[in-house]
Amino acid sequence: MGNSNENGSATRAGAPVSLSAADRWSILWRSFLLQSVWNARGMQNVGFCFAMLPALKRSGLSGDAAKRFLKRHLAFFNTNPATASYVLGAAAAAEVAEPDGAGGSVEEMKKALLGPLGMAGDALLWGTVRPLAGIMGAGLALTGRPWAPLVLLAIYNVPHLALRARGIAAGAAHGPSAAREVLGPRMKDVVRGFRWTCAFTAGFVVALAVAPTGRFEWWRLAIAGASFALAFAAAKLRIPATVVAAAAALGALALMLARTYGG
Amino acid sequence: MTDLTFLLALAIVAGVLSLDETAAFQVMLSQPLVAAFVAGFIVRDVQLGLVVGAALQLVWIGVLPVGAASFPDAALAGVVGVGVAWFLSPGVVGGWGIAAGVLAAMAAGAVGQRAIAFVRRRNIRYADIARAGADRTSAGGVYGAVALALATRFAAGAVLAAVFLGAALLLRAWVWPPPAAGTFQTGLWAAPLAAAGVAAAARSKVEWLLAGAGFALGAVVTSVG
Repeated sequence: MGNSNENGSATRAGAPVSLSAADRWSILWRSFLLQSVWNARGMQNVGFCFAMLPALKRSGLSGDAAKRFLKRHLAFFNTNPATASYVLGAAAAAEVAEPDGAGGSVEEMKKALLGPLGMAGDALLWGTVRPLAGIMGAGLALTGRPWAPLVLLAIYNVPHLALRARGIAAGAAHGPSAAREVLGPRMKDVVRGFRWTCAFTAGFVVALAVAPTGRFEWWRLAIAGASFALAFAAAKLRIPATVVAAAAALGALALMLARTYGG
Repeated sequence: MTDLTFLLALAIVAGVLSLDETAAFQVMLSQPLVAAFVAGFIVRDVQLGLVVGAALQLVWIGVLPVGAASFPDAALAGVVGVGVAWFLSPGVVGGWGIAAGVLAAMAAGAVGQRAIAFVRRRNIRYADIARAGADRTSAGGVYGAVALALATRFAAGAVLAAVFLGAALLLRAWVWPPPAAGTFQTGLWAAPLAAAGVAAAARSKVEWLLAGAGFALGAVVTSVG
């Protein structure tokens, strides 16, 4: 472990360095391309390395040490792209503080964090915030509000962008232990709260979809009730939502064409 | 603008927005409601965008594009849905063109799903370029890989959108009868779509109960308002 330190510091300017604010901003915007070269072999590897390049520049590594840096961060990596910011922040700070990957500890840290952070980020953002944003946006759109897409974007991106920025800052300041703030048991309650809100809103939106003009008629309620029951049955029988929806759209098209051409 | 100009503009929008799905940003510009809204803005029929977008949003509410999972191309679908509906029955909000658009969108989403798998196989080669650069102690390979991957993803979205929209134009020119003005009860078909979305989103008994409670409240609210 000691000799890697020697190798690295031989190529450095001498005085201790740390990430500047500009470096952290650069890593933050580069993190949005984390999945740009997503591939089955290394998954987010190229994106991760791309986001780490400001740390390579700041560390002043060159020659073989720089080559090892690039290889280290082109290794397999896959987690949730938003919570990945905690790993990016911590890894970049460690690379700059201790040259040449702090003797393998940066790689170990990446491996230890990617699983738990991936599960936490996917459950929070993809499993809960995104469906909630989608349901709210769709409900507003069905009632003719032209600003509905903005509501969808706001509901998702306020927590999403905050998480990304926070991850880089906290990871750089406190190291891998900063990730604990999104891995704690409190997160489970947050996720459950979001999911319940989402389910309630989804039911509400079905009712709105039945009477898009605000005019209520009993036959519309009957259609909604029937489709609700059908959807429940389809879910129990594990028929994909796409199949149900395609059947509904096809039925509607046939009905409309029959009415248009059938007199 | 001519139909071909619209086709070109919509294809470019589909390419750009499909980048947002996983390759870049992931700020939900690729969600069907947003993509369809943008497409609706381009053909100057925002209401059409909202209706098609809301329907697709609900259909795919349970889709999770995480890790190695395979997912429909929602941005492509949103743009194709609006474009096809507009080409087949322009200016008729609530016309049957919408149902045709939603169907075309779901087909486009499925084809786009294959295209995403294709792009991700190409990415293996681009990752090799990055690794070869690292062997020469150069970060240039990383930049090259990112640029090539983004360009490939953009091209896949734009080309597929152009194919679907071109097919709609051909259909209208040679096969499809002239579009008849018809009213289309959104409630008739949006309800099954929405319910299908709920089925995909609600997983536990509590969630189904809450969805039922939400529906009951919604029914009361719409009958009063």
